[in-house]
Amino acid sequence: MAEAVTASKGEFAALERGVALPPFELPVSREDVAAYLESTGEQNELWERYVPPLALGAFALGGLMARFKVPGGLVHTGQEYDFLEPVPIGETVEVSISVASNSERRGARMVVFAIELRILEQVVGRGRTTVLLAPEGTEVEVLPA
Amino acid sequence: MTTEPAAPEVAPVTRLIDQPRVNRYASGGRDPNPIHLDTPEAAATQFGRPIAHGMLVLALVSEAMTNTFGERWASGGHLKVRWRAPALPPLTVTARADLQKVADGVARYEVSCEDEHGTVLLTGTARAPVS
Repeated sequence: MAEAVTASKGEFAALERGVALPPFELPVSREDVAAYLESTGEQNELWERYVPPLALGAFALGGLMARFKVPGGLVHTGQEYDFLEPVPIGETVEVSISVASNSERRGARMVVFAIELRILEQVVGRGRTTVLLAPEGTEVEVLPA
Repeated sequence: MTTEPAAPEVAPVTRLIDQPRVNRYASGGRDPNPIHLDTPEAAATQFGRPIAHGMLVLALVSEAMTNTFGERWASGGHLKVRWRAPALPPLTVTARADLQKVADGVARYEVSCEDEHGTVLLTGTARAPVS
């Protein structure tokens, strides 16, 4: 895995729209799916063949956090997903993440990351992750996901 | 005039989210952020205790949609949510999806998760192909 990038609050604020992180591969095994389902409590025979789409979303976010050390005080405020194709267990998904927007509102920095999941060249899912970095000394109403 | 296919009702999903479950999600969901665990970092937050992963709460919504739509959820589902309040374990969370409309073969639901005290933890929308 590539070395994680650590961003200060200033660097985070300076993230420009369109900046892309290096893509990474996300292999998903039967054991990965079993651990995810055991943690959420979900049971569905569909997930004996396919990866739960929200598990892919969670694993992709995990990959983002492992590669991009975000500043303390960052909160995950919103999430959007389009699940386009079921992903069979055992497949390797390529994850691409880029900055979709970066704005400031009342002193708080809001960044939206766009996430795309592909198998070979086929897009199997997309997501948008919204995070908020509150101004120093303020408490936030929503908390890290 | 074409008639839209009937959209199914989505049954709620209710689950206890306690600290052991949160601990398991930290590894199973690949989010080891210490604010979710029994750590000094969690104790230092404004809540003074661990906070459940928002994605763990959201998982109940996806579960409810899967129970109704099966593979169609994984091959055409859409989800857009915003977290509204922290989930402080232990709490019992209920995920609901209320049908709003059907258009062009796609059913649209308003989704939410609430705890046993009626605190709204997340709100949003979900869409899935009806056929």
